[in-house]
Amino acid sequence: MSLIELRDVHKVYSTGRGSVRINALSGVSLKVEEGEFVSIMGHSGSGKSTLMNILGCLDRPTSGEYVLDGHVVSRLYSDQLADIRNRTIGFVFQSFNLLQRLDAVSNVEMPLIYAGVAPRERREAASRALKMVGLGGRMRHRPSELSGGEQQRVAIARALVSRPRLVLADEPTGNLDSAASCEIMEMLRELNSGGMTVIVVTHEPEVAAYTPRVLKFRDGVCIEDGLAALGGEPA
Amino acid sequence: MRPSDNVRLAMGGLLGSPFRSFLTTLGVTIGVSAVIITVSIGTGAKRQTETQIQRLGSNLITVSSGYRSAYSKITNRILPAIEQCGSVRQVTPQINRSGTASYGSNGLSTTAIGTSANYLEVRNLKMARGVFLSDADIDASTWNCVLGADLATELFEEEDPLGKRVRFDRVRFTVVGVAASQGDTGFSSVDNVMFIPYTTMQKRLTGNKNISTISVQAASDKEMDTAYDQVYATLLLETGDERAFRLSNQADVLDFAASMTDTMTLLLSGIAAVSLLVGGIGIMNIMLVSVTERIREIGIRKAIGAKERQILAQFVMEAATLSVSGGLLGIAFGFLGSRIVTRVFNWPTAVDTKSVVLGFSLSLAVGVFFGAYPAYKAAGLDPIEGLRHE
Repeated sequence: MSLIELRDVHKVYSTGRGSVRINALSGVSLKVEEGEFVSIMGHSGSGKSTLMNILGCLDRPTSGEYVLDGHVVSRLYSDQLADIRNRTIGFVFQSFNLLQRLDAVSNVEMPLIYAGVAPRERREAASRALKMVGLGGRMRHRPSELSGGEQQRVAIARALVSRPRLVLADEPTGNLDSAASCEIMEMLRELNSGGMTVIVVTHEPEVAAYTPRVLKFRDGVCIEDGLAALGGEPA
Repeated sequence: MRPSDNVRLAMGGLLGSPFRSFLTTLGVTIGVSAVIITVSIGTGAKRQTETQIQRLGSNLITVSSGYRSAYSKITNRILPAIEQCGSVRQVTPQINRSGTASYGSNGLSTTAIGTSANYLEVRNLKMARGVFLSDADIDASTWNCVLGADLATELFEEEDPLGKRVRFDRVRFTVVGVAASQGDTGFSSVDNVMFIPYTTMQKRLTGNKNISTISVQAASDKEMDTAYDQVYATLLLETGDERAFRLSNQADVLDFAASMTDTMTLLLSGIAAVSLLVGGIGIMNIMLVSVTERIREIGIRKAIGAKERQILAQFVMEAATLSVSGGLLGIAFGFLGSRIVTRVFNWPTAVDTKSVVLGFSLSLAVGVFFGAYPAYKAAGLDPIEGLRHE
């Protein structure tokens, strides 16, 4: 069974009291197997962010089915979706989305608070995750005291601390210079080689080059699903 | 999610902007301290009146004339009739007359009270030295007198008054006793009067059989109402005229005093309630601002798995923590404030545990009530919108 399966998923946004309808996704079907490393490419407006929100259980499709790990997500309640986000999915965002007033370790342990893990255990898990991303010495730093690359690594630590099956990275290198981008992508590749399914949304071909499978989107449909379509190994 | 984490989250949110949190709590602080102070003043006043009235003697009914003395029907004749009533323990007459008491070169304007021997017991008076008037004094209309504590010291200064002769206007009396100081009863203090046999008063000073007031002591607390009815019926029978006498009940006076302080407490509590309301609206306002400021935080929390009710709990908890810390501060200020009231205005105050509990629960209720709407708004937020928010 695939980890992710989309069947003819449509997403329609209506604005202006329903008079204007925007088809963000018009019939997307795809499968992602457990352990894959996939990038989703497209220009802005191609529907890739909408797809990301649906994959991340932050949004529901207008029609069609989304099956994640055997659960038909489109039929779940918002509490159940929150549980799935908490346990099954780890998020990495373009703008890091760390809480500024909390230090690194508190940011990382946040998913475990909502999972009901005891304080001592979750602090241990959070420090372990921070060590994994090479920030063992920066646990008490606040986001404002860290560089962009370091902040994104904290975000990765937060994404993996609850040992999710799936990591979703939305333009994870969008706000970083090329050296830091490289570090982050290497880190995601490492996670993937450890068995986690990783999906990266990007518009940069260099980023997509890291992943063996690339899905290209335009106008709400997948126009290309290629294994190493851009020429295999990154430089 | 653990309850302890809820508290920790709320504290974290508040300590993020401590000065703002403090300002927000001020309304509740003022409201709660106002509640505590007003209730303490009310309780203090009530207790003081109660002890003052109790000090005048217990289970008392007072009879006085409804007409001016020339037409008064309250005379010696009434006394034995009232004494006959089943629920009455004893009665004592009282005839007041003002005049000048003098000893040597010291003269003071005072009141002479003509009364009987059981005045001591009925009006709860204690003797400092010597004895009170006896039944023999009454029967024989003797020239003996008993001085109030203050009158004795002012007339005699260092001298021992017992056995000395004191003049009241033109009449001379021999001092047989000095009453103990009764203190300020808030009504009429008897520390500045002299007691003489009422028979002497009637024969030598007033020249008639009128009695100013009759103090009636009921047999017990429970028989006050029965005694009152019996005395009323007796007086009606004896005088044949319900306008000829006035009856007042100690319990009535107590009730009246209590109702006055109750009204005052209610009024001041109303003001306190308004400031609590204003404080609550202040909390709601700040919580709404806080929710708007933290849309992104809420988005992040939801994305990583916070459920709606967990966000709701976080913000309600924050509002409640704000309000309750304001309430605790208010309780502290309330204690301090009632001390100050006692010190500065010399009003008796008593901080009631009930009012402390009331203040605390009011602040909790205000926080939960006024925090509910902002928290509901936060919980219903769309995570995608929150994450996109700048």
